[in-house]
This record gives sequence, C-alpha cells and structure tokens, in this order.
Amino acid sequence: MSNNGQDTILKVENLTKHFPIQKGFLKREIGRVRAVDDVSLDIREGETLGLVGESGCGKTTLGRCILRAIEPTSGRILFYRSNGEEVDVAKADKETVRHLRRDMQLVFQDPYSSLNPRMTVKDLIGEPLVVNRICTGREMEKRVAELIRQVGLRPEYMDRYPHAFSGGQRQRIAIARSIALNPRFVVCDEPVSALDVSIQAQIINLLLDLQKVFELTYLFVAHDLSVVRHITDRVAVMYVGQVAEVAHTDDLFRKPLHPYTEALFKAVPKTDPDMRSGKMALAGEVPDPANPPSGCYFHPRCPYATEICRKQSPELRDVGNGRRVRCHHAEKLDLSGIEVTDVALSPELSASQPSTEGTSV
Amino acid sequence: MRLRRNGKQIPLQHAQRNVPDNMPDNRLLDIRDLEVQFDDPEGTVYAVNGVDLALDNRRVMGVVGESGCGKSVMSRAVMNILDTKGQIVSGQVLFRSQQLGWLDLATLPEDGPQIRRIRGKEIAMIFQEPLAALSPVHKVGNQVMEMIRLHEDVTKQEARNRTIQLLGQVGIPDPQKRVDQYTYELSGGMRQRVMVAMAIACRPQLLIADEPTTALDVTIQAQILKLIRDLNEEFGMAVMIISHDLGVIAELADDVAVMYLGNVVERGTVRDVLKNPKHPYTHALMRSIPRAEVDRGQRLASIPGTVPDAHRIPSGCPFHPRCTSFIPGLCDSVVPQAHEVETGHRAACHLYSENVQQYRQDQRVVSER
Amino acid sequence: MSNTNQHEPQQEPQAPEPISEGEATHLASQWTLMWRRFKRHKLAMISLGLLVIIYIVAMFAEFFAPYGPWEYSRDYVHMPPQQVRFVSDEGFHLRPFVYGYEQYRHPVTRQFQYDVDTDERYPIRFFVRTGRPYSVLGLFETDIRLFGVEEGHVFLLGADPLGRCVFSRIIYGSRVSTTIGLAGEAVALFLGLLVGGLCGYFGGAIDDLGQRLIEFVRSIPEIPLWMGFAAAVPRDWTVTQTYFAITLVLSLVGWSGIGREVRSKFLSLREEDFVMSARMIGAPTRRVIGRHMIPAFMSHIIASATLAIPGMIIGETALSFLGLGMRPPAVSWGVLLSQAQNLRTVALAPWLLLPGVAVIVTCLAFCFLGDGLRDAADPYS
Repeated sequence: MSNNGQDTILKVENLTKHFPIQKGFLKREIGRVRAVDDVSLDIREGETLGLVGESGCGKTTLGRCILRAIEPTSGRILFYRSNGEEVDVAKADKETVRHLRRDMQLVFQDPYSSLNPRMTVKDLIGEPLVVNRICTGREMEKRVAELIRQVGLRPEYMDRYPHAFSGGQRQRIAIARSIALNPRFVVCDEPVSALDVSIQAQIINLLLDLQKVFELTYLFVAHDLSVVRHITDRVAVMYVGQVAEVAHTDDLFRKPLHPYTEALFKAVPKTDPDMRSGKMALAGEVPDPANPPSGCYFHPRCPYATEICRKQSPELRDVGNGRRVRCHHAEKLDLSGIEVTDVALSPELSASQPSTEGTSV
Repeated sequence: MRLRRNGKQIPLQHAQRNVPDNMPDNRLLDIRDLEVQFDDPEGTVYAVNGVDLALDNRRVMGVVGESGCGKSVMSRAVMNILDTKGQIVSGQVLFRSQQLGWLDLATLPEDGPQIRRIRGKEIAMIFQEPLAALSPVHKVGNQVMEMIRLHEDVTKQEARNRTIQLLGQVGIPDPQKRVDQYTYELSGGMRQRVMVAMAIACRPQLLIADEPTTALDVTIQAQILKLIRDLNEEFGMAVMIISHDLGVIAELADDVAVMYLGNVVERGTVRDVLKNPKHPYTHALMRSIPRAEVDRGQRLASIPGTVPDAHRIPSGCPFHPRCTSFIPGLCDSVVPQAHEVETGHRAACHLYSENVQQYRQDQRVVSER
Repeated sequence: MSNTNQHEPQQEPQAPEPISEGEATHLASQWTLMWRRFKRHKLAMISLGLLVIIYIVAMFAEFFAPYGPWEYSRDYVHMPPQQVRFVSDEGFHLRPFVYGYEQYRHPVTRQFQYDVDTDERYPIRFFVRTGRPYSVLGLFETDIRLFGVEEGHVFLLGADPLGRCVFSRIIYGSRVSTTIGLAGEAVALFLGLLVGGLCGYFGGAIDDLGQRLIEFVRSIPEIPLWMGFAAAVPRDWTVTQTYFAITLVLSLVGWSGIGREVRSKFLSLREEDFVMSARMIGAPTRRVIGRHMIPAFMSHIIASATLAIPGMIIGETALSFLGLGMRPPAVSWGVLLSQAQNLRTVALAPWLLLPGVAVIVTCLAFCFLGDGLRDAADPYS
C-alpha cells in the first residue's frame, strides 16, 4: 500500500456505501444492503485499473461513489489535483464537487440512454464547455469539431441527432462528451457491454488511443474478463461489496491467488474448444448483499474452504509484487489461470491479405 | 405465416411428400435454402437469405453471428413461431418427427394441430430472458406442469411429481419448496433452470436455446452451459445453441455455423472453424473480439465498417464491402457457393473456388493490357 | 500497453454513414419526428383540421353568424329551422334561398306555429353588407357578414323562445365554450407542473405532502366540487369576471391529474442516464431540469393536457346548464342548453338541443387529437 503521493491520482480509503431497507409507514430500517463494504484502493496516474465482478459485487456503486454521483456512507476518497492538492471527494461541498467535475468524468454503459435524444451532437459535446463557461459560439464549434474528429467521426455530422447514429457511433459521441473538459480521471462504466461484439474492438482501441493523447487515467468497470485482459494494467476483483484480489493484469490472469478469481476464470467461456473448462463449474448462487455469509463471504462456494474461513473474515493483505489478496490460504493454494492461445491463418487467406493489417475498406 | 403455393394452404400429406429420399440415418433436422423476410415501415427486411443447415441426433450445433445476422429469426422459423416477425418465403425445414416421420415444418399451418404436437414435445425452445418468458402470475411448478399435461395424458398429481423430479434434474435445490414459488422469488439462474425444466419436460429430440445465458452472470452462465451439456450427454437430446458469444459456442457446441446478414458463411466442427477459420469474416471476427485467452499487447484488429442495413443486402457476397480479401468484379457480383475446404468444413467464399486462381490470372492479364 | 504492430494513436477506420435513411431524419428535431408520426393518424389529422376551423369561427364569430346574439323578435318565437333550397315553383335557381314562414297561433294550444310561405322567397347572398358594423378583434370595423338575406330572415337552425337565431348564438357561444377549456387547462397545467415538479424532484416530505394533497382533491366528486366553487362566485360580477372565475374553478379541480403524471415523470427521469450525465459535466440544477428533464416529458404532458380539455368544456357546459356558471347575457353552449331544460320546450322546439351537438363534436375532436398526440408523443421509443 506504500506509494508516494506524486504517482497516485486517487486513493480510496475504507469506502462504504449502505442502502437501508425500509419497511412500513414510518420507514423503519430492517436491514442494510452492503453495496460497498470497506473498500480501499489506489489508482496511479496514467494507468488503467480494471474493476471486475458479477452482479451485486458493488463495482458500479463504487464507481459512482468515487465520482460523488451517489453519496457514500463513510470513508474517504482522496483525489490529487494537478497542483498536488488533496481533496476528499466524499466530504467536499457542492461547489468543490462541481469544480472537480472538470477533472473526473464518467463514460456510461448504454449509449442509447446516456445521450439526450433531443439535443444535437454539437450541443451534446459542447454542453460541458458551455456549462463550465469555457467557450461559446464559434469557438465552441471549433472545439467540438476537433473532439468529433478525435473520436473518429466526421465533424459534418454535428448538426445531427443521436438517433441518426449506430450504437458504436453513439458511444464515440458519449466519449467525446466525457473528454470535452480535458479530465484527468475517467470512470468507464462497462463502456462496451451494450455494443456488438465486433464494434467493441473499435471502441476499446479508441479508449486506448485517447488515453495516450490526453494522458488519462481509467477506472474500467466491467464484467467481461476478456475485455479487461486487453485494456487494463491492474485489476481489482470484487465480491459482494469487497475487494477480493488486486494484481497486475498479466499476473492475475496467469496465476490468480484468490479462489473466486480462479472460479471466474474457469467460468469464462473460452473461444478455444480445446480449453473447455470440464466439470468444475462453481456451485451456488451469488449471496444476497443484505445478508452475506459469516466469516469469508466466499466460503460457502469455495472448494478450498476450511473451518477458519467460516468463522473469521480475512483481511485484504499485501503479499508482495503489488498484489493484495483477501484469503486465509492465499500463499498455500496453487491456482490456475488462463493459458494463452491463438488463431491460425489459412494459406488462402494470408495470400490475399494486403500487407498492412486493419486497413479500412 | 402460411406457406402458400398458388394461394392454397398445404395439408399434411404434402408436407410429408416434400421430403427427399436420401436422408442420412442420424439426421434430425435439415434446413434447406431457407428464406425469411418481414416488412417494416422502411421496407422489406431480408432476415434469412438461403440458409442450409443440418443437425444430427445427439449433436450440439452452435449458430453464431452478430446482431442482425438472422440467427434468432432462423431459430424461430424452425418451430414456426415467427408471428408478426416474419414470413417464410421459400425453402424447407425438414424434421424427423417421432410421431409423423419426416416432415417439412415450413409447410404446416402455423397454429395447426400438427405443429402444435411437435412444439414442446419434440422440439423445445428456451430464450434469453426468463423473466419475460415465464408468467409472473403463475407458480413455476404450474407452468412446468402445464407443459406436461398438454402433451401427455397424466393426472395432476403425476404431473406434479414429474415436475419436482425435473426441477431436481436441472439442479434446483429443494425442489419441493421451489415448485410452489413464483417467478419473482427466484434468481436469474434459477429462472433459467426452470425454463430448461419446462423445455425438457416431454423429452424433446431437439432443444433450441436462443442466447440462454446472455443475461446471466459468468459463473451462473457456466452452470447453465454445463447443465445443457449434461442433458445432451445423458438424454441424447440434440441442441441448437444460438449466441453471439464465440466462447459460449466453443464451450458447448460440437459443430458450428457462422452467420452473417442472413447467410451461413462457414460451417464445420467447432474445432475446425474456430481454430482454423477459412472464411474472411470468421477470421476477422476471431481477431477482433477480446478473448480472455489472448495476451495483452495485441491490438484488436477491428473489422472496418459496420454491418449493413438488412433492407439493402449488398450484391454478390454480403461481406464483400468489409472484406480485406475482396476480389473486384467477382465478390461484388457473384454470390459464393459453400465450398468444401476440408471434410465437413465448408466456407462460402470465392477464395476456395477452383476457378479463383484462373479468375485472378485473367484479371491481371486484363489490367496489364 | 505496448502495441506491437501499430505506430502512434491511429485513426480508427472512419465510421461510415449513419444508419437511418435520408438527411431529413438525421437532422430532424423531436418536434419534426413527432409531426411525422402524428400525420399517420388520420382521425387525429381530421380532428386537428376541424378544431382549427372551429377556433377560426369562434375568433371571427361576427363574420360567420348572420345575426347578433341578442337580436330578438316576437315574430320569430320558436321558429323552426328554415330549409335551404335550390328549386322553387319557377324552377332551379343557382343562388340558394329560403322560404319565409307565416306565423299563427294554434287554435287549441295557443302556441306559435309556422307554415311555409312559398310567396316569400329570400335569396341568400354571400358577403353581405348588413349595415350593422362590428369590430374585428378590436382592430378595425366592418359590417360584412358571410351570408345573409336582404329582406326577411334566415334561421338555419331555428329560433329560441325569444326569437333569437340559434345558429348565430351557437357560433357566438363557441367563443366562450372553446376558449374556457383551453384557458382552464392552461392554468391546470401550470399548477400541475408546479406541484408535480416539486414532488418529483425533491421527494421526501415535500413529495408526501404533495401526494396527499393530490389524493384529497381527487377523492372529492367532481360535479359537487365544481358546484361548490361556482356557487361562491358573486352573482353581480360581470361576464368577463365570471369567465375568469369559472376558468379558475375548473382548473382548481382539474390540475391533479396532470400533477400526478408530472410527478411520476420526474421520478423516473431522475434515474435516467442522460440526466445523470448532465449533472456529471457540471450542469446546475436549473439547467438539468429545464434543458434535460422538462423537454423529455413535455410531449407526453401536452398529450395528457389535450385529453383533459373535453372534461373542462363539459364542466363549463354543465355548470352553465345548471345556472351556476356563465349566465345570460353571456352566451355559451351551456347557457344555450339551459333553455332546453324542460321537456315541454324540448318537445316543442327540439332544435334547442343543437348546442349539445356542438359540444359533442368539439369534445370528440379534442379526444382524437389527444389520441394522436399520445401516439406521437415519444418518437424515440
């Protein structure tokens, strides 16, 4: 957990978000949904941190808390501005939060609902500039045209409405809107999940390109491990509101340390038929975040669980190499990751390929 | 939908007569040159354009393609549940019914007694969103029992016992309690299992699964895929699994058909097609999708352009506008046949036709002049 | 993140042409898209045309009506409608005409009866100068009317107990009846937006309070509530004052429906991605509401408001019919109908019920229009 303040752009400390369950006329609280349960994370400037997990793990809620789109219950969210100043996003007042919006942005999952269908592309991409009094009129149009070009669309389209565009193009527009303010930190909330499989590649490549050009830091929330492997530098795996494991992407995929991560990797369907996972699917259901199991939340489904796992909740421990694991047996287990394979190129196909790959037709 | 030849509906005898003689013994379903269209305010949508697909007993066939390729429409055409979504314009859907022998399902009246005998009993289907497919106001047990009692002459108690047994078979814990619960009381994975239970209640020969796991978490998805695999192995039930996820297909299927804009562009065993793709689209697709088993650092080569509008299918090969192996003059004018590249592995691409070399040479001669 | 075979960030292959057909759709605002969908609804289009005609007639009532609303005469008491003819004993005439009536008293009942008098032929002239000037919208004076007769009388829909032309009075009555519905609904819309907006946006205690208020208003039966409010209007107020009072009465009862709808739209829109996106880029609350939330549901609300207008028209008609709303000398369809209250009058002069037809036609037109608007309301769904 040690890192010097200059490298880190965001530090989440013991962040918790509970949703109360209310019943009756007087709204008595009968329980709590522990959406985010004492999460601590660091994000370094310029990196892409992946946040993965299944439904109910709290990754979306965590992303929204960090941006103060929803109010955290407790904990600190320390954001380091370009001048080095440290701001606690969780406790900042409304004015400060509005100022912070220039530095921290969000890319939504669904490009069909995140763009106001009643505004033109120009208004959509220009709105951040207008609202923050950066520029208006002709100056704004020039900036918008530039942004449109940078996301791979033609500026002539800026007077069109979103319904004129396909899903992939809309997502480009949404991304242009998010980077209009030149932010330093962008939370990407499942940005390619709603898109067609072959379009996902285009948007992933775009996000990578923009990261270079604008020197962005990404928090990449996703449920699709394949996408995560491609785009992230480090990954945090979440389970029922807690961080189960944090590691560099390559390390994680080659050799996970938490049994849940191993189970996830086994469950991901691989496109190589020789790598079928066989009979070892993970049993049971994802627990109810309002009523998690005792001790280690994963123990009812864990093939390696022992007595201590049922009684005592493990801490998120530093195990070296920048890796952290929340498991009593992390050092003792020998878990398997995902091997690497590739696709053959038939001779007829390679004979007809032009020399450069990925040329547009 | 009614298939009319000269304006008259075709009765059962005709449906039985349409079947060719030389069907292999273990063939269960043979789709020949199927075309499905439907109309919307913008014109005619050519959803399925001449699809040939064969499925044998006890095999799992995967149908994979992106949205708009026609795979869902085709699956619904098999059981003829297109409703307002489409019309079978031509082609045959030949099915070896246990009760009625070989039949052309496409010619049977849409809600006639014959096809209703087949639906549920011999061919069953499960869908992507169980919440939409299951009734919210009936207990799940009753829904499965309805399926049983529609097709078999059993008492209510017998049906209930069968149901509890089925729920256990699909991996639902505590089935005696679950049988009286409502849909909303179950999780997503449980609901999908109930749908599977309903589908296999009458031991169908063929199960069609249309994106059955897309809405589920990855660990639950693995459970459902394993369940389907087990059912295929234990009961010898043939499966047609439709998905846009190549990983799901690779996990589950024995054979695979890749579809693009209403055509099957490549067919073969799942090993042949996914590890050694012959069609440029399949190859480009494998290169463009993020895969967990491929290392970082390899930039995803995205397929240029987007899928064209199904109102206007490109001439010749439908993939030609986006194909990096495009041969001008040939690919944009002639629809490619399915060429057998190796045994059991077919690709509909001019690159594999015998005269492509000759054609290329001719072209070079022409341009040199 | 090393890219093994690419140079510095490259442009993705240019995204190709957008999917929809035609430039027109790409550049079409939501109103254009709504209009296109609306046009497909034939009945709604016809109703729109009909309502435009009705409002033009109401605006230029003096022009369309052959007589003033209070022109009375003992000679025409309960005169039946005169039939417009083209053929007389002398043959076919291009110019339409009406026969006069001869008045006499029934020997037994002592009622006024009328016989057609073929000797009196009154040709109908168009764009006649009547010598009775009137002011057009307060801008200029003229005395031209659409049609009339030089001598005699032309009562297309008969006369009332005071010998006044029913046709003319229906036309004059449309001024009050059609506009009071619009005005009432406009005020109700304002109230509904205010209360519903506050409830939906702030939630919590404000929402609870607003909802109880809405429920309270809705639980009281409409007609007694109207009657209660209307009875509170002083009898000695002028026509104009009474007009505004009745408008207020109608809107105080009618705002709750709109209020509930606005509230639910606000509640659902709060969770929409594009609303959160607006907050994310730093838009202040008033912009989020005014630029993002309100335009999103305005078309639905307008459709609902349009569907509520017939209720207002019927409300005014009912109140005036009962003598609680507009009163003579004001002319509205309800006032006209109040003369048809007893069975004897209706049996003698059934044409006194014709203002009811006007109410029905107008209300139906608004219903179909609202229907078409509702269908077209969300062009993006």
